[in-house]
Amino acid sequence: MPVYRLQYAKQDRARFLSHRELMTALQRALRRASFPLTYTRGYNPRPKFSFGPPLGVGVAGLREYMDLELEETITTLEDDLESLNRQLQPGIRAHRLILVPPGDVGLGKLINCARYIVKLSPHHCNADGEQLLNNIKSEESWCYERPHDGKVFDVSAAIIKSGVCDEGGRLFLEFLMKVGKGEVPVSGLLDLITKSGTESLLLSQVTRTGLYRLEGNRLLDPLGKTEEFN
Amino acid sequence: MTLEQVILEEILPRVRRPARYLGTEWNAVRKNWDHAAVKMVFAFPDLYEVGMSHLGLQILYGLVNSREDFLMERVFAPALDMEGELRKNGLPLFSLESHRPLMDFDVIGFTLQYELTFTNVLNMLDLAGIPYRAEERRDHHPLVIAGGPNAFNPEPIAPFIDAFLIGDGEEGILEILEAAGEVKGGRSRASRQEMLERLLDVPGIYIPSFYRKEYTNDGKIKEVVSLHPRAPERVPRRVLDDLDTAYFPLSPLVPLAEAVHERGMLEVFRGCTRGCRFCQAGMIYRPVRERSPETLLSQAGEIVKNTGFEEVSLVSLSSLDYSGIQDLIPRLAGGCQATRTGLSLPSLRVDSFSVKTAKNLPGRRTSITLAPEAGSQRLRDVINKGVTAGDLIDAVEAALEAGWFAIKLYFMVGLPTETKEDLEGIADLVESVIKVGKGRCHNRKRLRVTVSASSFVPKAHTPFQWEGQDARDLLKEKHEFVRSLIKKSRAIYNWHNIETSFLEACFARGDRDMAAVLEGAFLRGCRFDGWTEHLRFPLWMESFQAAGLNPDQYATRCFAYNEVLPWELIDSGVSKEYLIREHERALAGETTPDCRQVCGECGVCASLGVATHLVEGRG
Repeated sequence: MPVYRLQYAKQDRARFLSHRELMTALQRALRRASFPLTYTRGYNPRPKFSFGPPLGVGVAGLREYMDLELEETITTLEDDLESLNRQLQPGIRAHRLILVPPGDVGLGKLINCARYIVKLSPHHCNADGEQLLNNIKSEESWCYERPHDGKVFDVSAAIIKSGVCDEGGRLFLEFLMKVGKGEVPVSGLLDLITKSGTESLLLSQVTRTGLYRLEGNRLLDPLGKTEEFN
Repeated sequence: MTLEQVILEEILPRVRRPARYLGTEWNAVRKNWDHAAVKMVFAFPDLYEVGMSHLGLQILYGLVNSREDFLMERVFAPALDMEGELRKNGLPLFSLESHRPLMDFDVIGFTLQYELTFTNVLNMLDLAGIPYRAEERRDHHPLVIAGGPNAFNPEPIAPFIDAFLIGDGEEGILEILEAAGEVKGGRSRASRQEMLERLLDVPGIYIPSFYRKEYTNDGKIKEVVSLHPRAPERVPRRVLDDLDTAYFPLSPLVPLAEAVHERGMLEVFRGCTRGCRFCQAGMIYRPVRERSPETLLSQAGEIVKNTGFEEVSLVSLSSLDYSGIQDLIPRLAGGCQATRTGLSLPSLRVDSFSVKTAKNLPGRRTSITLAPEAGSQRLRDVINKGVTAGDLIDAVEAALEAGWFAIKLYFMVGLPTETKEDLEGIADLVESVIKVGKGRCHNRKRLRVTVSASSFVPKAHTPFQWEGQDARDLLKEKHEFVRSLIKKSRAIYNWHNIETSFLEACFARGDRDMAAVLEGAFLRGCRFDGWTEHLRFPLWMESFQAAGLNPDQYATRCFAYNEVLPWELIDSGVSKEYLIREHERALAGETTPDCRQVCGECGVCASLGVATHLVEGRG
């Protein structure tokens, strides 16, 4: 059975959906759009989907991915994408749909890092941004204890790269973070930023802008696009 | 910043499950505010997850929004963390679709599905900045109406509601909104008095402020005095007579946050005439009105297409009593299989036919629930349950055969005339069910039996409305006794919180003076009282004391036939003579057949001008 990869965005109001709520919303939209989904066997058949790493409640995602197995090859990818978009609620948008070449690895194995931007409150100036970044970088190891289960994560070790940018006079911090091995919760990253000199931050100030595979000095996205990384 | 921006940017990031408050569900209707002549918000006084599973909401939401000149939005009881944020930030309770304050609407309509949501009704009005006592509301406040099964004894909540609609909501809602539009004219708000008087023209409307009760020295009702020349002596129930031509939502809202039930609902019929004597639904929704299989099949297809739901469910009081079931199920199952949609039957009868039918449905199967309700044949006859131990064993055998290895059994404890033998009968019945399971191992699975026992709550408009509830201590003793007997077997025994059942009884049979207790409990901080983890029973007892009311007056006291009951103003269509006759037959252990076989002369058809409508056979 052919497997297709969907790139989609979850933003605006939809950022407040949990991963589970988002999965259900996508599943129902695909059903409404009459995609020929394949289902697991048994009494409780479920569509054969696999998702990229889950996004937390409140965090937006601009380029998220899911793989779906279909009963047949579809030839009208653009039309199907359009009909899916007609069935998606506000805040969820399907961007691209491609056929995954047989034998390619799944999203879980492929993705090993993610890029996040954190929007700071309007009163921060550029100098604050640089200072914040220096404070964050100077932290060799930052332990974050997850409140609900007490599990401890080293946030500093999960940061592959960090930066600061200014868009329309508003400051953003940018991070490339590990996914999978060494991954930390986004709330841990916010904890580190806050301790480095901001007021408390909300998950809704965070956007995941992309998911990648980092190999050597190349970043490869799940649709096969590569960019240099240094 | 607008209220909507504040909610989205400042509040939602700080609460749990923010999807409850987004309002962007698939099939949500967002109308142009300025183009709607009358704006109503449907208020469900429980969490989103509960309210979004409610068919009545879907019907009224679709119906009202199908009218160009009307608009309906939704609001659910905010969870405690949301209430905290609203109060801390001085923000009003808001509707989901446009995130507007409830004050901006012309009409707020509460559905009263369960007595222990009443503190939430007061809380929601309070959070909206609207005085919760009707007498304190002024012309600039919205009209507050209510309906649903609890409106059949409206008295405990009457001082907080301007008008009740009794009976099938879709029959009266548009008339109410039309009346509101007429009175309002071109103005931004109508005069309250004018509005209430105009509502007297709508049949099925009960306006509490137009009545006063006179009491005897011992606190019993002497008479009900009408304070308005046009206020009816008794308020007749509205009843939908033809389900095939009635409005039904084919594009229902699809929940965003996971609801209790996530499925397309098919209402195969309304009403139930089995005549279980404890059951209020079986009395107040009479007669049985069935929908044709053709209509149901086409609705199922549309609903799945328009929602993407993974499951369709037949939701009626006892779906397998549908006269066309043999015809409907295979056709429905065929359609469901084609779209990979599950089909479920939430209420099974206790017999092998039901179980065998359920077995052939596409979709998942976890456990099967059967409700014999009482442990002995004698007591099952008293309550007119019409189920024998043989039926139960047959059903269990069929379930095991079909591959169900988890069986839930529902019983009620504290039923009228109950004896120790009846309670022992529960344990005997459970034992015999377990015996059937013994020796039938399948894939190393063994039969798992869970017994779930509730406490009997006497309900208005039923043959048991005169019966008092057992005292709390006695109920506890009884539950513990049954559990001690069941302990020997391998079944699990769960019982519902007794304090919850006690409060239910106080409201189910309470008069208008219960309102002071309700208000007291709300002011003391009670919310979500139906949720065991939120129930603060001592605060309720404090409120009874402060109001100078003995709760046993309503919960445990037996009423006499010649007493005026608090809810007699409401005419369900079932005659008092029938209820008395049924009560007497119960005490004599005599059963009454389903009126599909023999008319029991309950009076509904004659008094409301309707008839039982079956798709096959009589009617």
